[in-house]
Amino acid sequence: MEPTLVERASHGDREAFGVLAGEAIDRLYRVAYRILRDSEAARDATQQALLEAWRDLPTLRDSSRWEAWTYRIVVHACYRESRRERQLNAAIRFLPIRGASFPDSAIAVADRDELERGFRQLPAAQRAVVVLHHYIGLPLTEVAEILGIPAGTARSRLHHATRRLRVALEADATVSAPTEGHAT
Amino acid sequence: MSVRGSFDDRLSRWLDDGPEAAPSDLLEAVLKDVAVVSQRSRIGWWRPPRRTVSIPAGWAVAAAALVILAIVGIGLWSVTTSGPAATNGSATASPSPTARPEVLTQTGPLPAGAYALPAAGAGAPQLVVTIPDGWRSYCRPDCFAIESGLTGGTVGIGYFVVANVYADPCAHVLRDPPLGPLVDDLATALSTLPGTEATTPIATTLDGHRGKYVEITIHDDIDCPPTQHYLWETPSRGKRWAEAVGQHFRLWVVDLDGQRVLVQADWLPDASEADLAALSDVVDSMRFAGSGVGSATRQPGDASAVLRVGRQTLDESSTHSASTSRVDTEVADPFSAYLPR
Repeated sequence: MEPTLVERASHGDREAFGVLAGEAIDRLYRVAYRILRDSEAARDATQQALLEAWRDLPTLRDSSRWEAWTYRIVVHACYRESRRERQLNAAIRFLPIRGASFPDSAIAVADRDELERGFRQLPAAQRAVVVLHHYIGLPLTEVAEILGIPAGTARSRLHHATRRLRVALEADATVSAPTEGHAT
Repeated sequence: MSVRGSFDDRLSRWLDDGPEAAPSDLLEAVLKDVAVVSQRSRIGWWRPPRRTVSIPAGWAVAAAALVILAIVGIGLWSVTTSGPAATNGSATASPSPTARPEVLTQTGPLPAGAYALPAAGAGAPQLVVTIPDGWRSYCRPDCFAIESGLTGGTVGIGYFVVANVYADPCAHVLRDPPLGPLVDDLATALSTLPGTEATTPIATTLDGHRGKYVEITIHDDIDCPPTQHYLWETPSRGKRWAEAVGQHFRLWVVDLDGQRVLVQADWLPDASEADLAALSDVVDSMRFAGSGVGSATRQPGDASAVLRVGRQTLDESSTHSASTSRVDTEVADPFSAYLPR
């Protein structure tokens, strides 16, 4: 079914592309949001990606690669968005999580904030590998293929990203230990 | 730490915690874009081979003469027709000179034509520009920027009301005390932005409105990633940051009857000559909506009359008026008495 739609769309059938876009839009938005961590930026990246997919569809020779191909396009749209973004949002403020002890839910909040903070400091290229591997669940070889990079580069990006996120979490664990006890 | 689970589990849980569906109106916006954008041509063996047609020399000369006549004719038509579109002489942007500009309301690709951009951050007369095909608007949330390329390009125009500039761009520390209200205050602040190479502000006019003109380039040795290098802030706390080292900005700080605005034309180091030429045309077309001055009173020093966007810099342009031909020369400001106090 899908290859037929892809083929029709690649020959200029806007209705067929509308169906494809409708099927893909949530998937692409989820990825874009998780890379960019900003709903407006993710919206723009998804919109750009689908527009680019439409424009470049005639160059997609293997219609069975539609899904992987659109992942690649949306990741590149995220790269551009993170580089080109001229945002008018106020800077994100992180609420400091400091205290004598945390119940489980607070630990989850602490995790979330520290991961958010650490993730935002990663280059977009590392974020993309983390999202495609840990969120979509793709093996690193496929991540590398989608991103058009050698498998070793994908592995290296994941390694560096993971290390930085671990450091962020461990730093949080240190400052939030019960003996610290300073609330801010 | 074991109570928190393995690192991979925690990371996966965190990644799962986010929106599952795109905004409900996004598909409609995409399909609206798709309706006006053509697909790329297929490139492959099925394309018929290009045929070479030999033209007799006499015909070639006649054809060339016709082309020249056509160009001269278009040029004469342009200079004798009033209105902003007539001032740019662009071959790529050719809307009707009297066409009412469309007010931009959302991000997306734009057909060639005249468009009105609201200023980011505060109310101000709209900036009207004429663009060729292949550009897009950028709204976050005001549609204060346009750029080349359907999916983000290397050259663009932005329009701002600026409340303050950054004293420490990488640490995101604003000037304290804040920027003063004068055109000169902002122009001077822009020319001394840390992490940039800047020209001395010079007097200029844009669409007949007096102001100051500055160029800045982002240094390649800034202490943070370019997108963390903040430049200025709007009254609504929106931030403009750099996007690449070597990024170049042309900045017009203009007094619009007491409202100070900043118009920015910028390009990234990898901008193509074609994009730079297009940007030059767009700059030439700039005017303000509802302006009581307008192109009829443009003077030497107007963007349309003086500035050439491209790899050429102003100080290479020897034919301009004395007050604006060199950006690196200290020039007395003949309009300072008119600037807001």
